[in-house]
Amino acid sequence: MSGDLLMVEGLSKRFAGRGRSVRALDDVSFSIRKGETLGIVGPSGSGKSTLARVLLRLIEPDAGRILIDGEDWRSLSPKALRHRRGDIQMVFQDPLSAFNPRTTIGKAIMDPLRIHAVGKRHSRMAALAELLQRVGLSADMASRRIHEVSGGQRQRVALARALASRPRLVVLDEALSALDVSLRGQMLELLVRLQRDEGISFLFIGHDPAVVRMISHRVAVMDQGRIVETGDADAVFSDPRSDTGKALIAAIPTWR
Amino acid sequence: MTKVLCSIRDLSVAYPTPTGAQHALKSVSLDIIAGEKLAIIGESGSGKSTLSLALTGLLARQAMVDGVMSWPGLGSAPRAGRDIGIVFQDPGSSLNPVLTIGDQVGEGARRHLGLGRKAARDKAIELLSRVRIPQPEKAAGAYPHQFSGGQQQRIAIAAAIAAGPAVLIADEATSALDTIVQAEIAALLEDLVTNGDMTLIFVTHDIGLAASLADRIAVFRTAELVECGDARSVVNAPRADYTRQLLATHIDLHSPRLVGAADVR
Ligand SMILES: Nc1ncnc2c1ncn2[C@@H]1O[C@H](COP(=O)(O)OP(=O)(O)OP(=O)(O)O)[C@@H](O)[C@H]1O
Ligand SMILES: Nc1ncnc2c1ncn2[C@@H]1O[C@H](COP(=O)(O)OP(=O)(O)OP(=O)(O)O)[C@@H](O)[C@H]1O
Ligand SMILES: [Mg+2]
Ligand SMILES: [Mg+2]
Repeated sequence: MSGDLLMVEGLSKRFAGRGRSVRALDDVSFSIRKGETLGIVGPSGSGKSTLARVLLRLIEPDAGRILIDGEDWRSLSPKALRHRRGDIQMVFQDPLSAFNPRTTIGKAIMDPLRIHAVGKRHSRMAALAELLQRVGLSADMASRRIHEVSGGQRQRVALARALASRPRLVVLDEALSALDVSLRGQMLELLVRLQRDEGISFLFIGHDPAVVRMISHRVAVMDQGRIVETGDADAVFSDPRSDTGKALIAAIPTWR
Repeated sequence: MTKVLCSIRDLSVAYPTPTGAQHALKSVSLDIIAGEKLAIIGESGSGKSTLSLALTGLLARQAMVDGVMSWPGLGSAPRAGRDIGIVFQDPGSSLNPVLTIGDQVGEGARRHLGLGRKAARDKAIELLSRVRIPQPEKAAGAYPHQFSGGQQQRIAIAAAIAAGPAVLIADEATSALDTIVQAEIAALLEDLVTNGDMTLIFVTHDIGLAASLADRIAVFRTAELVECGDARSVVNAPRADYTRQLLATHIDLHSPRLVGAADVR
């Protein structure tokens, strides 16, 4: 067995309707090893979130294979999928829409713990407190609802929820974009620590090349539904080969 | 010549929470200059979005507000949508899921500029193309969920500028945009300020964007304004310790990587 946790082959997805047709994924193939982070950068609308949603089985691709630990993820029965859901978690680009507005933050984070049968109630309470602390939130946030916290606090709630079920792969879709720079650094360090301790793999989608470079082993550049370049993170960002990679680096605002 | 558009004096805002009142702004005083580009940066949870909502008169009903906010530059408090446009931090919440984006973007122009249906639609298509939405004619007939996160942010910007507001407040409006599109949107905002007499207030965590787009930068931490000044001097010679800390943690392409090839199992 190779060390691949995730292998994706030939994923394609087209959205069509009302005269508007978009090829969101066009023959996308890549793999992620256990304990590895693959960064994804690409222009707005290039298909990054569609890829994430397909991996989570939130939308069906038109074609392609997804293997997790060698197992065909797309052919899992709904029951088997429910059982395995906790293995892959996601932090959504728009956390507000990913939470039930009536549920308290504490309950939203506890639910995956309950569903994946993590411990007894009191140990779940302890796990909740620890998760909140890890993402730099105070315990009293647990009693609030998602629209009663700031944008950056919301993103960290989403991160805590994604980590709750001790997943093997976490898809992070612009998951740190609403954090101030010092918190962003802290969350990057948290992710790397978890990866070292638990061997988690990450698919890290981000618009900021500097942040993606910092946390990724390898990077893929997407454009118009295709992967146009992949390579070691340092190599791609110091000497991009694709026009898209070059343009993304050239447009970083400079100020020093 | 500087003309004060909005004067904020000792503004405090607190929210009731199950564990007691939570201060989001504490005694903030700030003058916003007509025609300027003001960046608001700072700590997560320091009150930046609360300030944006207070300026637009859209604070949550339960918020407890104290202090004075006056608009000498406008004569009266601005009407949301007409005199002041806002782009909320979560684009999903700015957009109405059951209206086509053409209708939403055109709505401001219809209601406030008195355009007819057809003219409003043309205006919407023009705005969608200005914010770089591909195939704007076709896109106008589609619904928000059919667009990517960054496209939704840009649609929200188009809707906010449709009525040609005197003031635009953009709360993290480019936070999910790739560097290329962000540069294009920054140029569009710059143009609206320079050629359209607009005042721009934008909240961002991107210090590079703040430094390259703003005239002045205001820095917030734990509900307080810690400093406000000329963008160049805030970035090159910050006065507050907190600003220095913030600048020191900035991540760029030369920051040390946190992972190496050896980590992979
Ligand atoms: N449900 C949908 N119906 C129709 N088109 C869609 C749908 N979801 C996404 N698209 C289109 O597919 C393309 C890819 O969208 P996607 O959300 O994957 O982009 P992205 O790379 O995540 O962009 P961003 O950086 O702006 O978040 C876009 O052109 C978008 O308009
Ligand atoms: N409706 C609300 N009810 C209770 N507390 C709230 C509410 N909205 C915001 N807060 C709290 O007020 C403080 C300021 O929030 P605000 O959204 O203004 O911060 P921000 O500076 O925009 O942060 P970010 O950069 O994370 O978006 C935070 O501690 C937040 O938890
Ligand atoms: Mg996206
Ligand atoms: Mg905010």
